[in-house]
Amino acid sequence: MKAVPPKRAPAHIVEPRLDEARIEQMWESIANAVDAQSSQPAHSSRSSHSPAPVRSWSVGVYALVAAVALLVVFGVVFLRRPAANPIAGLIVETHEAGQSIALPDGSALAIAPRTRLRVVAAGADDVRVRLEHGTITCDVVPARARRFVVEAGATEVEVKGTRFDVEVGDAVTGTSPSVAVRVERGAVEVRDGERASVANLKSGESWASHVVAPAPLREPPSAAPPPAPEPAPPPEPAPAISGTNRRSAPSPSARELFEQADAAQLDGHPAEAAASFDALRRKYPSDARAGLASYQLARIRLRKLGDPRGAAEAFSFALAHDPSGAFREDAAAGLVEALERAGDGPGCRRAKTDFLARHPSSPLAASVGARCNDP
Amino acid sequence: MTGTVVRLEAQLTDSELVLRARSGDMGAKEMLFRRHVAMASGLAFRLLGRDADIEDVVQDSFVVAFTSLDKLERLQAFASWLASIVTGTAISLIRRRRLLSRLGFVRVDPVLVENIVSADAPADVTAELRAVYRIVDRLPAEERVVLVLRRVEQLALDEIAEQTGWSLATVKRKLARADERLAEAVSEEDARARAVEEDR
Repeated sequence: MKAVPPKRAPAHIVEPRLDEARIEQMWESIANAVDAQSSQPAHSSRSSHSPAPVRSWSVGVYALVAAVALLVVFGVVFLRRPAANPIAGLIVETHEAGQSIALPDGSALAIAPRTRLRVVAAGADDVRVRLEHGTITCDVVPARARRFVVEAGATEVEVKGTRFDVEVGDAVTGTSPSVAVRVERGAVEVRDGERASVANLKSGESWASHVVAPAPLREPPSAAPPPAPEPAPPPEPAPAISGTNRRSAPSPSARELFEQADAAQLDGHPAEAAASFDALRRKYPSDARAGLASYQLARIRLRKLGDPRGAAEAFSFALAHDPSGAFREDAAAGLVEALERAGDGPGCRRAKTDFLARHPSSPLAASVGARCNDP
Repeated sequence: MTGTVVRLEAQLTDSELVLRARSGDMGAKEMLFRRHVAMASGLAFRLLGRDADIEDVVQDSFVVAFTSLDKLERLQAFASWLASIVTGTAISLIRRRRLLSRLGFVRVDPVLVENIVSADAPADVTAELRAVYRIVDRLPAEERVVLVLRRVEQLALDEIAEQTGWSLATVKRKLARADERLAEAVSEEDARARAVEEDR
């Protein structure tokens, strides 16, 4: 007769595989992170294995969340079905904050701060947007039966399934504004005022109508104390535009910067990762990844680089760029910790009060509540 | 009673290790880690229902714990304090994954009981676990966590409240909802089984 196994609690039956190699790898990652934060010398008991960086699952997760959060949350304007065409003629103007528009076919427009555009048409077979000034990033769902055109000055950009930026700057010569187009993926055709094709751009390529100086980096909204000196951003590429209607070398797109940062993080180079995240959020503040990049930057500054003041600045930027996003709670808690570690008592208490008011039932509430109390 | 008796060297208690760790002793931190990593990993595994994300939850949790040891008031309660951190970290991860799945950006594979329950588990326990994990992906994160803590971890309500940081009333309410859905799921499964039996 077969022996009956002893009764065991369910928890003892659901156990993960946990061998020494896995434990050792986890400890290495933890020790590295703790070392970086505490600036204590490593104890002699640390093993000499090469450090295994903490896996950055959050990067991918947050990137997707941030992309969607921007589309869904940032004051989303849902355009109605083509039949209800009241949006034709709609003017969207952003000020300090960006905005996103989700089109009925799933395409999306991310509108940078200080941008003005007019929806000329939003029909089933024709979507046409006139960009009057500023920058938009278009993420267009492929659709054979529908044209998707962005008018920028006298220039037209027509796409079929791609992601690209169009920027209309100040007039450079006469009354014609400068227009720049960057393609992140897919392909677009750029036409001039005579509707003649002037460029066919593929992924990573850019085009501009005039020679322009590189735009100054936009400063993020400041909701935190002035940041400490930050890691230098990666060297900017040479100005991408060298003449009218000339295709130029691509500058790193937001996606490329994000991937660079991710790779650097995985390779155990937090300073490089921080620089790339920082460059991304400053260069592409309206990109869907900007908030996430700033959040990741803040974590690196806080956990790896021992820069709590810089972390506080980056957490604030992340909160400003993802006000209702999936990582808002973590960023708000991180801000409290960063301000505490930076020695900013009043700021820490304000951030704590804000956190507890917004997230009273958060699992982080207890730890946040214990921070920045008066001695 | 027979058996081998192994005499161990006197071990440092958690309280003593926490005190040493607070002063920056990495050796003490490592001892705390090795002492509690199985608990933390197991809890994360059962809350998440999958193996892939354990490292992230465990690592993040220990980093949070070690960098805020000065907040731990009852030194001897390191384990339960760590468990609450693991729980909070897992909840955050579940929420994020859920959001991404809802938006269609990632596919969250259903929890497969066969993958997480040891092969030699008694049938009755396996059946109970199957019922729980069949519905966890359909529950809100809080209800999911409360259900697992109650049905799998077999914690008392006040222990769940302490571990999640939620009030006892909140825990009761969420558990009642989760139990309701569990009962519905079990009924549906029974009905399906009867229908299959009748078809034969």
